[in-house]
Amino acid sequence: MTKRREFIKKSALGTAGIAIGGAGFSTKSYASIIGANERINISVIGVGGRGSAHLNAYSQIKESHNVRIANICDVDEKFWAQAVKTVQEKSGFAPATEWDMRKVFANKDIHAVSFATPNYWHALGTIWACQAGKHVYVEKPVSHTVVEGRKMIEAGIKYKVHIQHGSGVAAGEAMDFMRNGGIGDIYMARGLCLKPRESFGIAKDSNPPVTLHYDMWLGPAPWRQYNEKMGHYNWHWFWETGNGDTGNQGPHQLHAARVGLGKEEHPVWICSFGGIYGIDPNECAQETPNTQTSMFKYADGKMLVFDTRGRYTNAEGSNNTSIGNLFYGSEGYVEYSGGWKAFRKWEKEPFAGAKMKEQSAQQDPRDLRGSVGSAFSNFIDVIRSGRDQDLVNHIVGGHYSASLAHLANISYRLGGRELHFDGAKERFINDPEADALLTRKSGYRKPYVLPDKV
Amino acid sequence: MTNRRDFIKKSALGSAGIAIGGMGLSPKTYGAIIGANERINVAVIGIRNQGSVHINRWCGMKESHNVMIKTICDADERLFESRSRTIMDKTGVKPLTEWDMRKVFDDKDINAVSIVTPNHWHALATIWACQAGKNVYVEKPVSHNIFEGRKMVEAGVKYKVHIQHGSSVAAGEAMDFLHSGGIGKVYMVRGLCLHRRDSYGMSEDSTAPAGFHYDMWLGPAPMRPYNEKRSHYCWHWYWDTGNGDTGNTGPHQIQACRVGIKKDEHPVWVCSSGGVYGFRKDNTKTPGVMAYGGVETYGDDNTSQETPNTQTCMFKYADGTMFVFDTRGRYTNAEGVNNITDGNIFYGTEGYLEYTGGWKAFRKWEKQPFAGQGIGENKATTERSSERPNQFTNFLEVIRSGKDQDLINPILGGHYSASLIHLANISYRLGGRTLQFNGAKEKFVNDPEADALLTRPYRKPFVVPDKV
Repeated sequence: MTKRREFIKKSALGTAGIAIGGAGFSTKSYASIIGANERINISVIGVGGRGSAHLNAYSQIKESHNVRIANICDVDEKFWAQAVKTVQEKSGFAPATEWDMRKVFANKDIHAVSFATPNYWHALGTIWACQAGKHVYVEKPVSHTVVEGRKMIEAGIKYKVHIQHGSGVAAGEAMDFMRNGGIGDIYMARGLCLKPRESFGIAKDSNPPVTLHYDMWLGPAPWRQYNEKMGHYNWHWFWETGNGDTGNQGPHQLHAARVGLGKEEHPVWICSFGGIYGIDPNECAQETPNTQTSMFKYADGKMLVFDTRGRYTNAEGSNNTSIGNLFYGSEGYVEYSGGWKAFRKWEKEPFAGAKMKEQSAQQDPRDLRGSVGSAFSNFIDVIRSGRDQDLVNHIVGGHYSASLAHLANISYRLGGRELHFDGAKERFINDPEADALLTRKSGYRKPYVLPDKV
Repeated sequence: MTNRRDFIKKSALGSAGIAIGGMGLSPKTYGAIIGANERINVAVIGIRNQGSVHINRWCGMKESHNVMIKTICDADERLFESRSRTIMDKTGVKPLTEWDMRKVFDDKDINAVSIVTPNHWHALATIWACQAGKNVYVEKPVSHNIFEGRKMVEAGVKYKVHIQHGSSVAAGEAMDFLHSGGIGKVYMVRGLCLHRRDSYGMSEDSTAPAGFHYDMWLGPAPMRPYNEKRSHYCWHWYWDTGNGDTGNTGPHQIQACRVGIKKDEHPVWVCSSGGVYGFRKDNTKTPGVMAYGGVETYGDDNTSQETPNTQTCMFKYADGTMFVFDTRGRYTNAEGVNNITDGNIFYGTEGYLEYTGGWKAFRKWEKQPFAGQGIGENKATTERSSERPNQFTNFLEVIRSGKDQDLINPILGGHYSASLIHLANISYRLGGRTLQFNGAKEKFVNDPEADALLTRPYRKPFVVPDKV
């Protein structure tokens, strides 16, 4: 361990004063190496929605993993009081509060940051954190675009920090069973994101609430007047900030589909179509489809078909899967959702599996797989061990999974265009119009610019 | 009636000696109009699998509808004896037998023909029959390609005969319920063809058995040596003769999807992907099991099939209505509360509807259906719930009434349904190409390569004519 520490110290000294978001920070890689008995100090960035699950998860492993939420950060100060109260009640420690994440990165006592910001902040927040030598836990989808995901991987490598992503952990006995040929050669996966999404209405632009640091909230997105229906949570349904439900709930099932297929690579062919149905466009401002079918093909011919249906719908399979996956193999098939069931050939009764829980679209697969908070505790374990390869949700896989949502959405936004993707170059083949959507089409708003060189 | 008869007589006289398949036949349009008390003489062309169903149907309606099977026709003479015996047993009348359908069309006593040949013969046989003035009942999919379907529609109009197609009838209370807004505005439909398809193995090319007129069986398809695994029933799985399962079991569900969303038009956008999956590549020999179609099957043994057994097809109509169709021929889950394998699911602004042997409608997020009718075991046959009208009796009734608009499965709708299959397969065969289709012209938008697959090269003299 000492050797590695020394190495990082040296390399940190060699790259003094990296500019982050216009502010001058020097790398603090030293903090990223933690002694076995040292406490790990965490900052949770974004505590309004999913962030509360992060607060709970780290609080729960406070003793077992010697971790402390030292800081919470949110651009909307209205969330602070509740977040502080939660952490104090659960861990006995009142965290500091901050609205500008750059201040968090400047704090050398923070070892790791946990991002639960909107999607379009994931990459920049992560890269800044890496540059400051912090380990990163980042929510799914890891990125808002394909290019961002690649830059996050580069940052993790360059600054020698661990980056975990927050998709439902696709590991455990079902995945082992499939990897070991339990249903033969798996040639297709089907993913389902059948989650009720009601209209959230429409509103006139207005002034942001006094508690909200709106410019910071907007970050890399183009400037526009504040609109409450494009703010908290609803940012998911606008392209400048979100990725639709295929890129919201979907990443969990896309991730499981990809892992089940055993694909640590991009697909070579993509087509996706759909629309906003069953909701009156005059009554709801959303841009992203609530109904979408996406097809992917990998170089070896394996297929992934993904369905998003946000309105009234049937479920699929013997367990009425609405949020989950189906894997098709040469010897049978597997239903994978709250638990899993494997069926041999044409048999009607499963021959393997683990208890299927009642499906509920409200259940979060991150809390269904393995022990509660396993992606969180694993993150802390890896920070201590320094064994990046032990991360259960490594950024590279998160990038492949998030890219599926992005590739589908690019096809959708181009009117259902058939896309041929060169995974090695992360570029489409002879399609500049599609290439333009691999990154933020409108550009990054200064100073919230994704660097070309991390 | 007399007026119409006269009209048709005249127009028939005006177009003497239309060449059919190289033989000179004159149209016998007169035979297409039947008096109320006259017997309808039917010929069944193609008498193997579904052909037997047709034979049984016509025999069963002998008294009620005054219909008789005058002739049975098949390129494989080995079927004649057993089918003749069936008809004799059921009706007391022995049918004539014929291996060349052109002789059937030549018989002026025949009023109607049932075309139950392989798909690649549907259009040409129908057009020849129309030219000879016969009414036509043709199995699904009506055509082997889109050009053919349009020519069939034209032939029916030109020769003033009735053309019914043999897809499951998409009518009755579920369709009425959908069309009257039972689940609000329907914006999407999902069709399922989850139909077990085991490997039928592979074989070497050989010589056609005695009694099998192979050249005639091949008809419009390119000449190639006989191969038993590309012949009876298995022709479905080769592009020269069939259209895969999306174009075999699929047409029933595709027809119901299209009718449910009320689209008497082509989609404007198509994409389909898939493959032949789940079969071994080695030379394992699994013990044979007999399956439908008189086909011996061998589990997941290696196969020479060309058409995908796993396929997702996506269509979009001009108004944005979506249609997604899934074919899965290997081990799979079913969908919906009724474990649908062959059926449809309609999605509306007020709820959704599962449609298979029966139907169930669900209001919004409710878990229990609020409308519907007894859903039984799924059956992937043409025979659906008895509640739905019967296309065989309807065909005879229309021949008598002369009211073409009363056909429950008219050729035009059959053409729209079959075209969905063909469009999907064109996209599939072009590697999952997204296709923009101009429905008015029945051509793709700026895509000559795709346009080439709208028709086929026809082997003389089995040529579908440009002018019917």
